Amino acid sequence: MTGGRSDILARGKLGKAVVAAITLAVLLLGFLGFKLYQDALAFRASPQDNVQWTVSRLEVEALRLQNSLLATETPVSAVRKRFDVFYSRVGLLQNGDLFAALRTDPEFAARLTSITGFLNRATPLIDGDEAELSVNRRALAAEIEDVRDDAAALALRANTFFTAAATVRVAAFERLVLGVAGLTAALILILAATLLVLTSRSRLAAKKQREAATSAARLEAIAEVALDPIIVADAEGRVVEYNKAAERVFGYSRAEALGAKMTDLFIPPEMREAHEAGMERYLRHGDPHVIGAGRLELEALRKSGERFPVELAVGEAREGTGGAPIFVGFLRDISRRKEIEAELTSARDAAMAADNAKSRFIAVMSHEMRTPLNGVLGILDLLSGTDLDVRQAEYVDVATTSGEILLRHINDVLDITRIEAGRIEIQQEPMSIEALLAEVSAVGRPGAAARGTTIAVETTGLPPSLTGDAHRIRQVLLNLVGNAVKFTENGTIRIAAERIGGSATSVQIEFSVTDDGVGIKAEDQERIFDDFVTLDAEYTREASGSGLGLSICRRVVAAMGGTIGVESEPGKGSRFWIRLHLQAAARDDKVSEPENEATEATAPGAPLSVLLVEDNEVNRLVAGRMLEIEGHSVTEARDGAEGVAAAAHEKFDVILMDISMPRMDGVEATRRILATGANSETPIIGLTAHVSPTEHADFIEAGMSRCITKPLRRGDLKKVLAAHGGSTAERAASEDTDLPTIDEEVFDEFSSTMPAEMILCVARELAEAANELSALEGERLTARAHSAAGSAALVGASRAHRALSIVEATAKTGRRDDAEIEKAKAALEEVAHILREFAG
Amino acid sequence: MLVKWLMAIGILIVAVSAKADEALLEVKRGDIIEALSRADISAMPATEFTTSTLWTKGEVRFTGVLLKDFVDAFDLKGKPLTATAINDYAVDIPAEDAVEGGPIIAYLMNGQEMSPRDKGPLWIVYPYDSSVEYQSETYYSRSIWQLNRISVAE
Repeated sequence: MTGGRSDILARGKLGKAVVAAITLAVLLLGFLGFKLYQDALAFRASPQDNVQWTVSRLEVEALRLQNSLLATETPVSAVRKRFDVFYSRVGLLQNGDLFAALRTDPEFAARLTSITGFLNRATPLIDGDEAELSVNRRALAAEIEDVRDDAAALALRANTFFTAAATVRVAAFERLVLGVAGLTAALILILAATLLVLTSRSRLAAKKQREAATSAARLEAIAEVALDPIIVADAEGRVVEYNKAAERVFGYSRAEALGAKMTDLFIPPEMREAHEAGMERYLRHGDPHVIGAGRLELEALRKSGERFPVELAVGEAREGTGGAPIFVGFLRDISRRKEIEAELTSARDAAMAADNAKSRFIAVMSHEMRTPLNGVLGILDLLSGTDLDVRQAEYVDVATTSGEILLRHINDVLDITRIEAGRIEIQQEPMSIEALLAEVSAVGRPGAAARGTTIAVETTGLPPSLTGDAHRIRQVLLNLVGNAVKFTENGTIRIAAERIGGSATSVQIEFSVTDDGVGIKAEDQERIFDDFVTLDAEYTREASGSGLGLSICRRVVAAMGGTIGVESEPGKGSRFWIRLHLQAAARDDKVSEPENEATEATAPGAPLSVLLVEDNEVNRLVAGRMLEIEGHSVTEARDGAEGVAAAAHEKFDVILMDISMPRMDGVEATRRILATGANSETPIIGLTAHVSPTEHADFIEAGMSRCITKPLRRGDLKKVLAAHGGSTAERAASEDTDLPTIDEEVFDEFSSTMPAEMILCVARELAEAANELSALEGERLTARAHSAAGSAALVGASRAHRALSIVEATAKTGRRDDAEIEKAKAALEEVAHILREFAG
Repeated sequence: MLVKWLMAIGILIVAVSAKADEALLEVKRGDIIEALSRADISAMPATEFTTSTLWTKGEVRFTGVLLKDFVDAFDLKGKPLTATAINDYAVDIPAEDAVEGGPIIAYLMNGQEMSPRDKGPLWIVYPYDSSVEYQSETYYSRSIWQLNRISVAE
């Protein structure tokens, strides 16, 4: 564009220069031509021949006069006539304007004077007496001899003079002619050059026109071949171009469309006003709404009146610089695409709905399965407390074990659905990693021992305390350790925690569980974190894995913002790790006690009056029977409302309250019972199927003393009742000696599920602990006491557990309670002995 | 000497007066020859103009008979003429020259009669100053002085 403009400018300048040059040349030529014409006229007027003839005639006339004088027969009158003619001729030379220039010549003037002198002398004689003239004829004739010389000289002089003058004039004339010729040549050159330039320009213009025509033809072909409609409109919104595809899509023929208002043809009536306004706004203010805005989706109209969705892109072009705008619209009929989109969306919605329904179904089913299973397990629990022969006891044990495995599967599935639903909650509480690892190793150790595997714990560079969700980390580590135990025989499992990075406030910790077991093939290493993946045939046969364990771990770790991974080599072992960012805890935060149901001291409880509020009949039966076996008196209520009514009449020592019930739930019932009446200070214990920490907090807030998780076991029940025996119940004796060496209930549960090797392994662990305790100090003492306490609790070694807990607590403060250590040692050795005897 | 001068003047006067009835111009039409005296010519309608000539000094006033009037008077219209001077010099004057504003047969120059010694007694003069056309060799050559005969060209 700027090149074209400067070209135009240059052409303008050049054009002006050429016009000026031609004008100048023409003016000059005109002027010179006029001069030439004048000169030509002057030449025509120039009396050259006349002059010379006149001058030369003078000599002739002189000769004639002389002859007439010499010829005596010539009459005087004739002589006089000759004289007059001669006289007249001299007069011409003397007075004529023609000879004015000539007369300035000195010789000419002298000769003329000489002749005039003769005339003056001769005139009186000629005009005088005839006789006298006759006498003097000869003398006069002789005098004329000189006059003739003079006349000849005059002629010569005139000739020379006029020749010279003529030469000058001719030279001037030549210059003039040359000037004209030169100017003409220059003019011709200029015109030729102009012609040349114009020719090349016109050739260029013709070439450009050809190119433009080619380009236009190509564009037209493109527009015609295009599969989508192309519509071009002018500023008034009238269609100026309309391709084949547009004919096909809109139904209007090209002839119908051209010149018509775009608005009337393609735009649904209710949108026309907005369209016109938009066009107007754009034209007036250049406010682009649609133009150059990229793809837009609009509704358009076919000739048939059918509406359909189009995709539209509009661009603006100008016809030449500063010309009126034209709008080029590329449209696409997207009705088919819209249909497919709608189909896909509905298909996706249907699939999601189906998936949701399935998830819900699974969740509901799992939940529903759990309730009767709890009943079965409860009954089995009761059954095992009756008099059974050895075979019957064995059957009950198998049934119980199977039921527990089934329950674990159900809990796994529920965990998954819960996590998937985003209902997992991560706690931030002060925690001790050492204690956590000790606990995990303690739980894992019996199983590992049964397979001849030992478990070691290692910690490196850990800060004294951190906040995190100990419960969830434990869940994951227990799972990993459980797997390691399963896949390792006669090997070593190492549970480690190490600080691998982070800052003062946020510490990155890597937990790892390393075994030297069978290992995992490389191609399986990614897969094992997926749902329902089980790798080992043997594992599957054991029927103890749902294939969800690692996928739950993955989800839990992700929920904590961490990562989980595995490195493994088949035949050499595996190393599972999780990496978490944990916050450093404030120094005075109390480290929460490791969660361990077995920490509660158990003692034979005094008979209590118990209100049991439970809507499920089986559960109510099981719980009621358990309580009765323990010697408690039980009042049953079938829902919250009944419970509240019952509590209004009678004071109970303890109230067991189911949470979800029809009519009135446990939380509401708890509030009402505590608000008024006889039981406002009675401990209320919640019975829950599955509880998250926040739910738990809600229950405590409602006034519950604590919660126990179903299925209800006699052991749990006893412990809880012992701890919350109520204000009127006699507290269980707190003296160590009152505690049993072995809590039979706990030990029965343990021994019934564990093989003999496992029991021997725990016995070994406890004996080792007894030996090591007196040699340890500080943190190591804390850890050892903690892990030993875990093992003790596992088998129901209540007295040993109590002593170890005191040792641990004291050690944490940096002191040693040697008395308690001795008690613990004695209790541990005793328990170890009992276990060894049992396993025999 | 004085006597000689007086005599000469006296002769001059006699000669001039003697020439009053002398024929100034012979007009020849076929076989008819007419002799016109100064009186005859002066009696014809006179035309007068002022012009410069190659042969005189400055602007000169000429008085004479317009060639057109002359041709009309002698019924010579449309005929080419031959004009002859006293020394027998002759020129042809085409009929087209006999127009209004054209040449005259002058007999007075600046109101004076012209002697044969000064291109007299008659001189065909074109009004050179009135038209560039007349300022050319063609018309200069037709300007015959010491005219004494006019005839129809053969």
